Amino acid sequence: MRRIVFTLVSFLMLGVQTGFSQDALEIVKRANEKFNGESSGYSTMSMTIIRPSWQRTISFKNWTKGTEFALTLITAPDRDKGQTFLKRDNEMWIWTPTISRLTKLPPSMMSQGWMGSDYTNDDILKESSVVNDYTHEIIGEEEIEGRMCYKIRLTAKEDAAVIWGYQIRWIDKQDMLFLKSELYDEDDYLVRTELGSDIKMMDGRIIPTRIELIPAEEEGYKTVIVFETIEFNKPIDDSFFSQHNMKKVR
Amino acid sequence: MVRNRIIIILIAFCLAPGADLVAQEESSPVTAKGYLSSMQSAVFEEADGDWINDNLLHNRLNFRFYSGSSVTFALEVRNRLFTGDMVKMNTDYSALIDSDRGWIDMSWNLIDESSVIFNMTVDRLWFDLSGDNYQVRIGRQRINWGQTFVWNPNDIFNTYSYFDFDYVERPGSDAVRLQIYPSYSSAVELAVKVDSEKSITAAGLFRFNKWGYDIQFLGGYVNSEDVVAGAGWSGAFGSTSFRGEVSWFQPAVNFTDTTGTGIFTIGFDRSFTSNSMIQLQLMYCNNPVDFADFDSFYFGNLSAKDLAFSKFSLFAAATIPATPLFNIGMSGIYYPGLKGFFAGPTIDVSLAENVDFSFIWQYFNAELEDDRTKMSLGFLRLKYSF
Repeated sequence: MRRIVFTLVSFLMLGVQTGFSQDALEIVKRANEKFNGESSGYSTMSMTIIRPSWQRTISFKNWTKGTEFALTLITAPDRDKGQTFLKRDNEMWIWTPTISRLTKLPPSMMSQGWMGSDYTNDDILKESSVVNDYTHEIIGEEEIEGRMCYKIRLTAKEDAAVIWGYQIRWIDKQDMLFLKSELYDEDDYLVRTELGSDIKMMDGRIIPTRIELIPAEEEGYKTVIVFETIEFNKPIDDSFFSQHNMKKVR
Repeated sequence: MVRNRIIIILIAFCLAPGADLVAQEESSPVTAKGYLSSMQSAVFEEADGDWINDNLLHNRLNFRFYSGSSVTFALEVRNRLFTGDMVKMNTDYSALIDSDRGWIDMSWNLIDESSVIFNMTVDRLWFDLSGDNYQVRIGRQRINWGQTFVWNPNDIFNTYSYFDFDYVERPGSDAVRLQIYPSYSSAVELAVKVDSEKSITAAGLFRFNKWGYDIQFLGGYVNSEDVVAGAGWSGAFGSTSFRGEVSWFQPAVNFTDTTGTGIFTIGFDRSFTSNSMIQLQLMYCNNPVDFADFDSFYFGNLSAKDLAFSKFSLFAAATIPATPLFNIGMSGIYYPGLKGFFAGPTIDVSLAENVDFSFIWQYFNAELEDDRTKMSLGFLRLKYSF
């Protein structure tokens, strides 16, 4: 769950680059540099799992520094409110205030989803390979959310160990934002669509604050991530990420 | 706006580096949360025999009052309304509900009639002062030193019964506790507790992180009776957690010529990408408790040294989400010394964002005082969290 949250934060930090007549690789490359470029930040967000007959929302506050440090506070649902997760390098703890219990979690817990979210760990681990593991080609221009986008096809290289056969990504021309992605498997079946919307200025940057993940095969399934606050490059001392602070943040 | 600014100034004034991050949101100086549940229970030996049916309406209120990020005051109250056969039949029931093991009696049976008992208990009431790397907490609080999940011989301040699933917060201790954090993942703790018998428990703990493990050592004096020394750890083999606790209790009187009680427990737990989980725990005790009846077995014990009823005890549990909203659980304990076992299937259903339904069944089958005792306890609970 932590990694999902963290990666999504990073995922959205695709920057403010204006450019014209760039080639496809360059566009994706710039986006990817931005992806790895942030050192620390704070965000509040919610994730809603939508199924045909129900939906559940979990909300967090996140503090992150690099990929080493993260502190997450659950703010909803009421039942779990106040629980905190601390990640330092490969170690992770959970603080459960109702029973005053600090529990150490095995490293593998970091790579698990929440309540069958449509975003899987494989996606996250592979996300950064969009530059190296694919060939890129601009296949058109289309308007998404009232914005002109490059439509780019990313085709997996022969020897690349990636789960997608190819991807179609719509990248906003003006602000270099991923506004839509279609992910196809090796048999050319659409597996998932990702949509970015509610483009807003957050801490001086224009980003989509709502991300929808829609699996293709399952009718009525969706995961929606909404960012309420993001603060980029916020200086946070290493000592913030401590067991003591796990019990104090709110 | 003015008020917010004052709060920000207060916080900035009160605290330490890093504190401004905590306070960046307009966090309310007072918070309240809790839950309300209604639980129907049935106790019987044979399904076709007599059933004892009861209902428990249970409300919990947790209040926090913050002054800056260094001062916190907590008040947590448990209100319970009991009705049913047990209330009518068992003349000791009212006293059992009313009992408070704390130094100050903060449990009151506000209504105590032949068919209904209403009890109010304050089980947390503390003042906390917290700085850069220390924390002082005074009052009724839970001091949780456990590393494993079912039996905690290191948890010398608060004993509890594993079977009392409806009391997740567990009782508190009337204590003074100092915690010092030498680093981000280590702690030194000193705590002193007084109970209703004026017995004193005083102990210290040092916990640190090394080789990917949390490791702790503790020592002290328990219930004005025993000297205790213990150790505990949490780590992992790959993706399987490996936890353990060991404690040795030696009577302070006749220290050298009495046999002490040693409890050793190890546990493994693992969760899977499907969110299912398995747990295993084994406990060994050289000197298990002889107990008189089913009640003492069920409701637990007064000291961490009385955890074991059998030289060996083996616990296993699994929970499987049939859907993300529908969890099926099964747990069991095997007591070779009692030629018996406990089995507990559970079903948890998330009905709405804050409403949960649970079915819990507890079945005991053991040889107590040379008699084969079979007992079933069934529970249906509807719980609303707020």
